Amino acid sequence: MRTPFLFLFALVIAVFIIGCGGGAKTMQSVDTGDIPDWFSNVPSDPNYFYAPNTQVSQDLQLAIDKATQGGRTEIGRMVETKVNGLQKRFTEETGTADNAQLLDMFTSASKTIVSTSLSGSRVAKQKTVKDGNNWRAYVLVEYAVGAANQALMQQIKNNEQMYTKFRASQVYKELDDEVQKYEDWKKTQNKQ
Amino acid sequence: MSPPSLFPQAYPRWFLNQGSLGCEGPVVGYTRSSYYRDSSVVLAARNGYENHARLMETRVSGGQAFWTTEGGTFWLGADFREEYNLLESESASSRLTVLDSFIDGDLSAALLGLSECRLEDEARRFTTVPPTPPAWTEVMPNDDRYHYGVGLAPSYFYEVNSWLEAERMARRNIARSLLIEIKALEKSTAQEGQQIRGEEVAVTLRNLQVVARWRDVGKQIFYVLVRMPKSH
Repeated sequence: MRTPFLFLFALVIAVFIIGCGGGAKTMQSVDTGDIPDWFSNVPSDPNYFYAPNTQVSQDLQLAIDKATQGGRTEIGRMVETKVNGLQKRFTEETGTADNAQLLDMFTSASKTIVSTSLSGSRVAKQKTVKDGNNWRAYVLVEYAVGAANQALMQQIKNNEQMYTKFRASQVYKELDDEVQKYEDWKKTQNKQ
Repeated sequence: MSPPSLFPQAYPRWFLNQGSLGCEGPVVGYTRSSYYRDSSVVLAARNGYENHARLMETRVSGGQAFWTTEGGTFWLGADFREEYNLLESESASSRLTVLDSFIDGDLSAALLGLSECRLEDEARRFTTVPPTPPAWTEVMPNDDRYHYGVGLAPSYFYEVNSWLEAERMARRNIARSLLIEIKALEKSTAQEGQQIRGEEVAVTLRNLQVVARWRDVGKQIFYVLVRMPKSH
């Protein structure tokens, strides 16, 4: 009589033990979805800076915000690299490497652009997937190179001394050409 | 792609494809369903007047910051605000009329528009949310007439909160794309690296339009696509 009760008791205990143990959920078994193609193969276009980023969070919007801000910071860094290149060429060409005042002006002008504001940066592509108990956001931030050039040119023009010195250089001509091309491109886009 | 749901969600076409309505400036108001249908429609219309004011002109300002270490990215806090003209929402009640409404479970919504706006029968028809995501949920539309923003929200207890948040996020994302200040401070040593970065936005949006909505029934994500003319 006692045997079936003992068997039932052992069965209940076994079910509890198995139930409390939980499934061994490995990283491989987590539904991470497909990594978008544009994340692994970042588009290449001379007219745009692209920055992919991915972040996780338990909050859907935070995952997107983290990734987007990471992408925008990366864009800022790319713009900074471009501006630093221009600055180097400018100082080499005009021989103003020793003119600390002028260099300071250039540096402050370029920093204003790269580290404080981005106008026209957009999330060109985004995808959200479940990653275990978290959300994973993939984003691709895009920023037109022309917009960066235009902002830099405006900063230079705002400083008369720097503008006077800078406009005689070949670097200025190249930058001006690029800005002009961007203006023309914008005009053709608006006509369509 | 999400697994197909056993209970496909259906909405009127004007709700899912608001941008394809021929009328000028239609707006959708949402609310939690009340016991009486009339109350639900009135409350939805009231929210519609507020949404109309938000679409006409909204100032989005504030910012947020993150701290990134090798252990991950941590949220330091956010303070975003939306300001819109309350007088505009009050005066909207004299110009906008309820063109159609629906109640589905705990969600009630009303489509508001000018009285001369004719809503086709096709637009009133209920349609199942397409199982495949529309292209705009992954690839942001790009044309030269509009700035676009996509807003997402998870599923909340009351569906109305999900749609409202998705719209708010879409507005915020448009503001961010127009002008954003990014500040980042990075520190790295041989052992570790960390970064604190913040963003600030202060932009006034005008003449916004809700173009489309989509709900990922499998993952329970709500999407709203909003646009703003570039001429403004």
